[in-house]
Amino acid sequence: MKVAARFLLVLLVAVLSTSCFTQPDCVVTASMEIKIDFKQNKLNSRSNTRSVVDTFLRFQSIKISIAGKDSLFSLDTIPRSSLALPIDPNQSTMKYTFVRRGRQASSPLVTESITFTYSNETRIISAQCGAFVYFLNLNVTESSYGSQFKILNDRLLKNTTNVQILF
Amino acid sequence: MCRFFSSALLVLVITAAYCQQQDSAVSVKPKRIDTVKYIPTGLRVGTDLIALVRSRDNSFKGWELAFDVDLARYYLVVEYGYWSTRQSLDNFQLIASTANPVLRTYGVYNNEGYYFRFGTDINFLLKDPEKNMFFLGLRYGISNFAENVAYVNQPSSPLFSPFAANLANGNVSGSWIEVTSGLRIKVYKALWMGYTARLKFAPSTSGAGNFESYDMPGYGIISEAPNWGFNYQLFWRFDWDKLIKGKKKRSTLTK
Repeated sequence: MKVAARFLLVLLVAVLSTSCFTQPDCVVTASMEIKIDFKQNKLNSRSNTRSVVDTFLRFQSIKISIAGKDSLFSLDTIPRSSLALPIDPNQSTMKYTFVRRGRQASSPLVTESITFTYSNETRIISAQCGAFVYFLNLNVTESSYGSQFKILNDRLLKNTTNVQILF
Repeated sequence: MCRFFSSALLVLVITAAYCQQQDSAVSVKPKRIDTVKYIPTGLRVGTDLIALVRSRDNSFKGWELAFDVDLARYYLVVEYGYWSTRQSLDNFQLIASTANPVLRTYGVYNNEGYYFRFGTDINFLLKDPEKNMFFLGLRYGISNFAENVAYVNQPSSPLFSPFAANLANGNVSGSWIEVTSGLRIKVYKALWMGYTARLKFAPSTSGAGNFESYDMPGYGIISEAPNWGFNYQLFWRFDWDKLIKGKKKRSTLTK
């Protein structure tokens, strides 16, 4: 009887203790998109300094394409303050070409391009969430924007702006 | 829920400890200990039953051996084990929405390796004549393992083909620290049962070059720190006195 009681006590404690094991939340921040913000760049004539202004840029049309693929987007008269450009996860370089008409209907078509490079790393979040490729070390190797861009975050993550392009 | 069970566990542990003290007071008059002798009286060899039961499942294979030697109220503990897991990494069961888009992925993770823990337990039931234990202890764990992951991520744009990777970390070593607590109860003659609850923390690994190590044998999921562990153990105790007496008997018989 004493043996059985001792056995049951130890077993009960073991069962109760395992009830505290919980599954972690599934938070995946991996993204396969480069998020670009368009910002207006205004010159202060008095101080002769440029400052970034938060405003929507309304292009008459914008067409974005990548080499060897159909156009990613073709947008007409939609105010855009940002764009999320999908990347090819199997490549380490992406060149995007923007063909846009400016803010006026009579504005000429302008072709601009920007080339990004990036690397990747693998992370296993959990058995329930899965394994993901994370893209990092985002860099601009070629651009028709000159110095009118800024890399804000070199990791491609959800809800994170990577590049700011100034107009 | 967890809080309720934690409270129940605490009450049980205290009750168990109290009962042990009551038993010893009623049944056997405890010997007066004048001086503490740091001489080992026996070696306990045990195994983890949870690891053996879990090994029936295809996703886990493992075993663990535990050894402890008493030095008055202190017990020197050595544990050695094997751990191999196979975990599915499919996330198709997760519910995605426009507010919470989920990148679809599927794959599998495998690891295999050995671990070794050493440390000391302090027994708080020193006056128990049967040497039953309620203990607190400290461990240092070392692990050596190999792991690999094969997975496919579905890209967010249908223009691109899925991303597939097959990566391996061949020789990873790691370490961690544990605070332990538990019971060891003599069930019948030399047969003992008990459990060890482990609070594992400060995990570190080296040698994982191709991806961040995920599951360390002996520790568990590395990103979870602190991590909990639990062993339900069965022991056999070899008494030094009996061993020595047995040897002496045999030698006198042969003479």
